[in-house]
Amino acid sequence: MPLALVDRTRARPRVVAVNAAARARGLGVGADVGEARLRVPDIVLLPDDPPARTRALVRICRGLRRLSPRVVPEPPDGVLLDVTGCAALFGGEAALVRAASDHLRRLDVAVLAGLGDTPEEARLRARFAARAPEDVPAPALAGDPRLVRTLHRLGLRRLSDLAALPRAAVARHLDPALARRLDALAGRREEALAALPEAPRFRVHLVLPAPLREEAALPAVLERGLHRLLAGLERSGRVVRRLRCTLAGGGGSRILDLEPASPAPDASLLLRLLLLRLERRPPPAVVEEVVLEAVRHAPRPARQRALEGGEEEAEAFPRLLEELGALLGPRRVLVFEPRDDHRPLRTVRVREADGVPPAPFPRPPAPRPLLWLPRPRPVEVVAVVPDGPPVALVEPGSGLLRLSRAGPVERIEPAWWRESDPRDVGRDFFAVRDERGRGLWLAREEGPDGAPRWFLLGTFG
Amino acid sequence: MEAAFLRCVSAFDFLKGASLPEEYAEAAARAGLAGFALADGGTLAGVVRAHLAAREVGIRFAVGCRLDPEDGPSLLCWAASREGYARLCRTLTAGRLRVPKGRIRLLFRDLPLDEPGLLFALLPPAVVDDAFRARARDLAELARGRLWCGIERHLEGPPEEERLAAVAELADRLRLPLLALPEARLHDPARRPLLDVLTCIRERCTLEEAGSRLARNAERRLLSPRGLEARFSDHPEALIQTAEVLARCRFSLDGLRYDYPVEEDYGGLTPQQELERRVREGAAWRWPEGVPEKVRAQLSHELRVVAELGYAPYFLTVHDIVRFARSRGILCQGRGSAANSAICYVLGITSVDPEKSDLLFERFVSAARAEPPDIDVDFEHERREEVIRWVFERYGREHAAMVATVICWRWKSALREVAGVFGLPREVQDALSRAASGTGAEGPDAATLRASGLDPEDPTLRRVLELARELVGLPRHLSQHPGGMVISRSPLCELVPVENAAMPGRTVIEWDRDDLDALGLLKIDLLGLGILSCLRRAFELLRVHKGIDLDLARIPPEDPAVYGMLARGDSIGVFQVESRAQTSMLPRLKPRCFYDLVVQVAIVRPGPIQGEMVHPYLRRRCGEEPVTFPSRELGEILGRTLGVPLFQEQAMKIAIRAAGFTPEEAEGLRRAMAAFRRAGEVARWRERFVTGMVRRGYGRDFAERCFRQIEGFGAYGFPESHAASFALLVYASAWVKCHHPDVFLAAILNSQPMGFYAPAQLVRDARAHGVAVRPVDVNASLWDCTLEGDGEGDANRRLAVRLGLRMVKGLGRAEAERLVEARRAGPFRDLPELAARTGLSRGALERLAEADAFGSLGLSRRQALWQVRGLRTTHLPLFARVEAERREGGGPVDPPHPARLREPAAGEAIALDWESLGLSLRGHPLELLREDLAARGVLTARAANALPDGARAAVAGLPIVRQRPGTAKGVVFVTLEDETGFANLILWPDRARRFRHALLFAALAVARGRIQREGEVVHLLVDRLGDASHLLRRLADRPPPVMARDFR
Repeated sequence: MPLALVDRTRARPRVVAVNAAARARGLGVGADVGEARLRVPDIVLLPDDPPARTRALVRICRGLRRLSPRVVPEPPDGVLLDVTGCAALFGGEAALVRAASDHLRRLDVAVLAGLGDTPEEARLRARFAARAPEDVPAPALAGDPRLVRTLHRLGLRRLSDLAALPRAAVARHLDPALARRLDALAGRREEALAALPEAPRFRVHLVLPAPLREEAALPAVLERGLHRLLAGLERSGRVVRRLRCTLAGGGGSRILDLEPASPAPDASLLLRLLLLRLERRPPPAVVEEVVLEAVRHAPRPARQRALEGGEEEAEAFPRLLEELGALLGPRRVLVFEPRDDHRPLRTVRVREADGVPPAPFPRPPAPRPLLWLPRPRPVEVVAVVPDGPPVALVEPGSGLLRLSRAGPVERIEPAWWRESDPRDVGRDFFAVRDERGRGLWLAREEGPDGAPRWFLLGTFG
Repeated sequence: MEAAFLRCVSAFDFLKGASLPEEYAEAAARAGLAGFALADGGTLAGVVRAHLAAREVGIRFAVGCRLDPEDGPSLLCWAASREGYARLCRTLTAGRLRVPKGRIRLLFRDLPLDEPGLLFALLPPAVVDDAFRARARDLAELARGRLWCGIERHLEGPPEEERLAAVAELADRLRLPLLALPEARLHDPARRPLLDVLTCIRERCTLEEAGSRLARNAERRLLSPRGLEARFSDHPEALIQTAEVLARCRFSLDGLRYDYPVEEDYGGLTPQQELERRVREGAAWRWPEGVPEKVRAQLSHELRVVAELGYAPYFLTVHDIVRFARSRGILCQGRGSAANSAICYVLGITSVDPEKSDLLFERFVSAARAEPPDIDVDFEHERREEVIRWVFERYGREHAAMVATVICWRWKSALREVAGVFGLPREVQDALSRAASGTGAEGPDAATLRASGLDPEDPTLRRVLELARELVGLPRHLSQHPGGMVISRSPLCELVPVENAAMPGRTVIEWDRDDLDALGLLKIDLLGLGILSCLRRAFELLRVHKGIDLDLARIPPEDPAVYGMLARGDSIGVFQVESRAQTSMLPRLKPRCFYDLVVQVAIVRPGPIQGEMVHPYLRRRCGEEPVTFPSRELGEILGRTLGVPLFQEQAMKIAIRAAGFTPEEAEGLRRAMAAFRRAGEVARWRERFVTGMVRRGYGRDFAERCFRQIEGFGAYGFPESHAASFALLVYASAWVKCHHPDVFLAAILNSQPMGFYAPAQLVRDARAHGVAVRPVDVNASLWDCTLEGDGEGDANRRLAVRLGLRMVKGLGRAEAERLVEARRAGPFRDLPELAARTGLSRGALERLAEADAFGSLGLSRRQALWQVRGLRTTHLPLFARVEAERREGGGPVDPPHPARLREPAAGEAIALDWESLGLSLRGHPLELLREDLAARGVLTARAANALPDGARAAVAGLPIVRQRPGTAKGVVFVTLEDETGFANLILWPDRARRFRHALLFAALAVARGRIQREGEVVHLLVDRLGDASHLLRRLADRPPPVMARDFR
């Protein structure tokens, strides 16, 4: 399946990466989206995500650390290893390069590899493996499209052309950065490699001096551990999003995973949630070790502090939800929310509870029944004229139930752009009162044969 | 019962109404309503259309709109009298002039409540609160007897009823009559989806997100009298009042007819007297030896008609404008039906000599037609703005404004927006937009959609297409017509609302040209024509460089050399006859005299071709068919055109004389032919015409054929006078090109952009005619192209053309002028000196180097570029001083590093020329590929064009023109250029689709197919079209730019 990544941040979106299938169809990097689709009509285009790519490169670097102590990512699509002195450990340079390539291929990553005396040389060899070094095209070193154009205009096509120029001339007439790269290539200049960012871990490991045999003593231990964990996170300006609590002892262990919905859960909340969980699934009889780890964490969100306080109240609802969720399980707590829609049945929406309290329901445009039937009930109605208001309801077994009009007709057309929902019936809506004083909400629509069909949707009171 | 629907919101209330005024009119008539009115917010943009449509279907139309003051309730307002209408326009104008274009701001105090000629109705607000009640009370006092309280019902349930009850109660208390005012946003419930789409576009959301912003139901629509009765059964009096309001609105837009043009005091003379005086002067100027009798008679006839109709001020106005232009040396010429007037000729407005032509004044001005004539004047396109500015200054913004043009939704934008409204992803929107490129009136077909990667069977996509189809043709917004102006005697803002244009200091009215035409209001079209700029420059160059003093009127006429050149099809650069269609027609038509040019200009257009006029004419001209006339009277009319009707005037005369039309009916027919947005109207005249001719003894077949030919005029039939005005320019430009191709080239290059061809083709053509062209050079070029040499050495006294700095891509005029200015002190000797003396930026110097402009400094392109890049950019004073001293000693200080750079190969040089200048003097890229191509069996264009009909051939070249004429049903014409000339290709629709990629993207194309030859005219019918751009790439090592221009 041909696939390409598109940089949509510019005015004219361009393709920044293609896979082999797309390349085989003639699509190259730099084409604009229109051309891409013309050449490859069934191409799948996805937006480019540079931060995600860099993260992926960082993960790849970590994987390659067994081959060299210094591995750095080179966005957008490269990784550089300093293998000085490492070759011997792997049976030679060629073997080392093969090992790296194999590792990556196992991860399903397409690889081009190159080895050199300097980082710059390695970069060029990786991309231009097939060519002799002098034949490497000059634009490979240029980077900046304007510089590429100038090189072309001056007839400087290949690396050898550039190397033939006096170095001062390159710096002055072309670009100082280009001159530096040539220096780096030739080894006249040391290139400093960036360091790989370390992933921080937030983990607290408590080895209890005496094994716990009583459940009642557990909360204190957990509390202590949580405080330590959160303090460590706080120092890095982070909060926990997913907590793993491991209780080990007596040859057994219990692992609990918590994913609080609250954006910045504090120790007491986490403790309560853990305890609620443990009520349902008790810990091992003997607890000797407790490990608390923030397996997922995020930067601390900005907190707007209300001027008059009242935070306690604002926190009350999210806490309630947390506890219910912890008791009943995730995704079992739902809230009703209003939805802006003309169709009466669609004005209510159900969603999973998260920390956000549901919006209040606005006043409906016209009176709506208090009680909705779970499904619209077809009824038989007597009307003076086919498109007039209902006059009486036919009750099976009891005969006619006279109706009096309580209000004017409301005509609400169904959404024309949606698939029709068999539960969302009706076009003309009538609020009526029957002889017994009950308020009823009736809907009428045109049936498939053109005759009117009536439904009872709900009652008022 | 009589009832009127007085609250129709049309599509001219942009993004609020989903139906056109015409649709309301037709629906209202069908429903049996007595009349209707528009209720667009703060605008009268749609009222003319509504008025015309109402007239046609025979119902009444009340002129009015909705007023939405910021600080008060909304009202509907109708004009009961002319004064009321004037006041309403004034109010709207005031509200619009205080804010930027497209907006309006009204306050309660702006409302013209005291105007006796205006009727008002309060619109029920969302909430009937005390503020509303207070305002209602004020209104009742100010407008008693002319104010109603509107009630509405759209089946929205109890709240609506509550509101209605509250309004009724209020009205009762204030003793105001109720008026039934249900709103219509649709003329038919089936339009509801489009209304929702418009809402989403306005709110910038998808259908899913829109929620309750969408229409609740389809009840906001036109209702029949019965429907109104049912809706307001409990308020019958409110319905009766609708008829009452309609009856009181006695103002009709027809009443605007006589409010024109500007009247001034001409030193004690009346306008008519002044006109006659100027005519006398002008006639003496045109015929110093005495005015010929024929002309004298024509003039007195015309002056009599003008006096009768009171049109003298109009002619004087136009004359004043033309006089102003001439005083500034701006070339101008009238076009269109105005050239039928001898008055215009003697006043110098037009250039068609009445002595030599047969003018039909009635085509221009007719007593039967009580409307002012249409004078369109062409000006040099670069200086048209000066003229417009002068008109504003002279007449003031109270009396002059630009005319609007209604920009409608097109397929591309419609598909994109509708797709967005459905929430389709960007990729799909892009694909739809692409599929819409080059699509006809029907929108993209299934094949095109599939080619863009879309599935035409997908139900959502089908919905999108349906809705886009409904949207296309609806007005989207108003824009300013580039040259149309309206000038009036009474203040303009009492005729039509005026708003600000996008350009500061300019104002625009709300109506477009068709509206003004329909109402008979005076308008003048100040058009821009590139060839006039070119000719003006040519005349200047002739004067300065060759001492020849000429102007449009004094070019030596009927020069056989000029006609010979045109008959060969040698017409690149010549006005109107340089297109592919024209050059293929010239050798068949072989113009030999001026009238032949008039015919040439008129017939090579879609109208005549569709109307089957071109081929019969050609056959008769070439003697393949005898010239016969079906009757003597037709022979009189059609004699000059060999029995084939070619001009609007002829069609009119045929209708009058052969089908028995009255002049009014002939007028109606002509209008129907000219109004190409309502193409179906012409068909209505068919029966009348055919019956008329049959009754006078013509065969039915013949009559129907005649009418079919006339129908062909519907798209682009020309008036003969217009063709004649253009033919003058054809001759003038051809004359200059024939006798002074050097001057012609310089003039036309300096007037770009204009015309059909790019500079590359113009230069190539000039060189083929022996003109020497010299490259851009920092020591010789000015901004404009200039002429060099004294011409003595050249056998034809030809000068050389020096390309100007304007040809260098990316070089600004200011920088170029700086270079020229600095050069006055003496030529530049080396690059650092040039850089120091001119102070040009590095970028500008690089552009010049890339254009190979440093030849006179002994620097090749590469060396120059290298040196430019080595220049020090900081100017330290100490260095400058040392530099100056050193220079005196000879040689620059701090020399740039020498470098051995490889000079480009021939092909590369040509490609670099193209990149920088858009042309190359070194040769054509195809020259370098010729061997390669010949090996593949590809011929040169010249060789291919010499082949007989039916021969198989292959040609290659750079596509310079791509055309898909609307009348050709998907056939694509392409012109390829190689070093020997042009090859014209024809691709049938299936081929065009199959080779779409090569068609759109090939910078160098190879075409294989069969020669189609008709005399001198050769085309290649393409079987296969290939993209050979990679060959060009090999020359220059990078993808070349695609040079083709696209035409309809």
